[in-house]
Amino acid sequence: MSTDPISYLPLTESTFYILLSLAPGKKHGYAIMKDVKDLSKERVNLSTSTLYTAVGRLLDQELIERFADDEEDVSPGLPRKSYALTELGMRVLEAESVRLQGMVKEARLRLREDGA
Amino acid sequence: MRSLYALLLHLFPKAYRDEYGDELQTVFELSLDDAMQAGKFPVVLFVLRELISLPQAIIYEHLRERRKAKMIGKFSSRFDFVPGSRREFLTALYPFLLIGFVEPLMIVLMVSNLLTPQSMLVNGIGIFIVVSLGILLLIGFVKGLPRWSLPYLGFALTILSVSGFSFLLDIRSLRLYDRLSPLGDILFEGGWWFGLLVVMILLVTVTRCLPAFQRFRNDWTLLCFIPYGGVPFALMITFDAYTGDEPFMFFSFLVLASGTWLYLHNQHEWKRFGALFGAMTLAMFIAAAGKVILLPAQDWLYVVSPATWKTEAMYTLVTWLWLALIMLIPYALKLFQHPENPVLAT
Repeated sequence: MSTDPISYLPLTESTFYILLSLAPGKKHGYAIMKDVKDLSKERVNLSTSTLYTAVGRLLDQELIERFADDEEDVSPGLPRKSYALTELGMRVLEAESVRLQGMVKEARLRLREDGA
Repeated sequence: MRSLYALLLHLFPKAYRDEYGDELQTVFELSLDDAMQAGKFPVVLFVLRELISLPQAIIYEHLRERRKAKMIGKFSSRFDFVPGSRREFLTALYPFLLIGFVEPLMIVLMVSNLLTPQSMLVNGIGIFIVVSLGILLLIGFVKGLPRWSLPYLGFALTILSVSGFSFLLDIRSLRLYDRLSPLGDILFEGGWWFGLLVVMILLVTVTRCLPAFQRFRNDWTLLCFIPYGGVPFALMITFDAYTGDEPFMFFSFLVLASGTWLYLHNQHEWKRFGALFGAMTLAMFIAAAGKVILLPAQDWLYVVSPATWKTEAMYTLVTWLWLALIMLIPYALKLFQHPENPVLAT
């Protein structure tokens, strides 16, 4: 698995939001799903199977890791596994943010030129 | 709807279902509850979204499973065990099996004159044990120290620690029975484990600082599994010069094997730690009891050593104390937890 964050770019929108959702700390699947919906202003509405397909792929790529929650920390009815960004995952997310920032900056400059 | 979804989950590959099935079902049910609170139309939308995306996910997971199966043919992949699987347990158990079962068996065969200490077979088995442990430790390093390999590392570190102290005793001409006070005795006995203690402190420090060790930061009990691998060797030292210790070694092995199994099969970190710590304690207790029972029959008693059952039990207790201290060192990772991932810089 490559350790160069650039090699993982560009990220799909749902992958970007999943990683972004995990940036502040560990979350279980349901919390990721809701957070992705909120972060994307309801544009990205993941189904359960799509979420876990993405989660499986990100685990294989070692961008995220999986934890078994302590039994006393788990509310009844909530998943017993949670996910967190790895160091590589964080670097990929940062690299994608920089890439997107660059694109937005270029677009704004060009649009300003066209408007002037 | 919940039952239908549970039924459809059976279309995923078995390994995937075992790994994520419960989570998929739980998340589906929580999302369905949310949709039901929002009204009938959101429920219809939710169900449609789930049903439409499901076939794609099922096909994707079957293809991924097939890719993984192809990789299993590679040699190193033979040591990629499913956590908690029987193969992971048996591989982790190997160092304990050698000391607790093979070594006593060989001694019994030699005592019964079925084998002689100089025989090719005994030497061959000895070389095989050392080489196989070395190769498996090497594979463990290559694979990034998966948890089955940690007892091998502990076993090797314990041998180095004990050999180092033995070497020091030789060059300083220290005598084992020239100690002045009970505290002096405890510190002196700790000399055997000092090297392991220092390595464990270094490992905990490195684990806290290096990103590559995140796995150990997330589960501090993994580091406890390292000194646990040294317990068989500690038992060998404890029974040094004793004859007739084979049944006690064998029972200690059974206890250590049970501890390993419980460790690999428990999810909760304190239960995992308890399995290791409890098994180590019980194995050392069996050793202490064995020494007390066997002592009167030892032919070296009163000749080279002023040992009594109290001193023998006490030295085993002191060994336990040092091992317990070393096994508790990784708890520092839990006490002084690494800060959470930094907030994304914009």
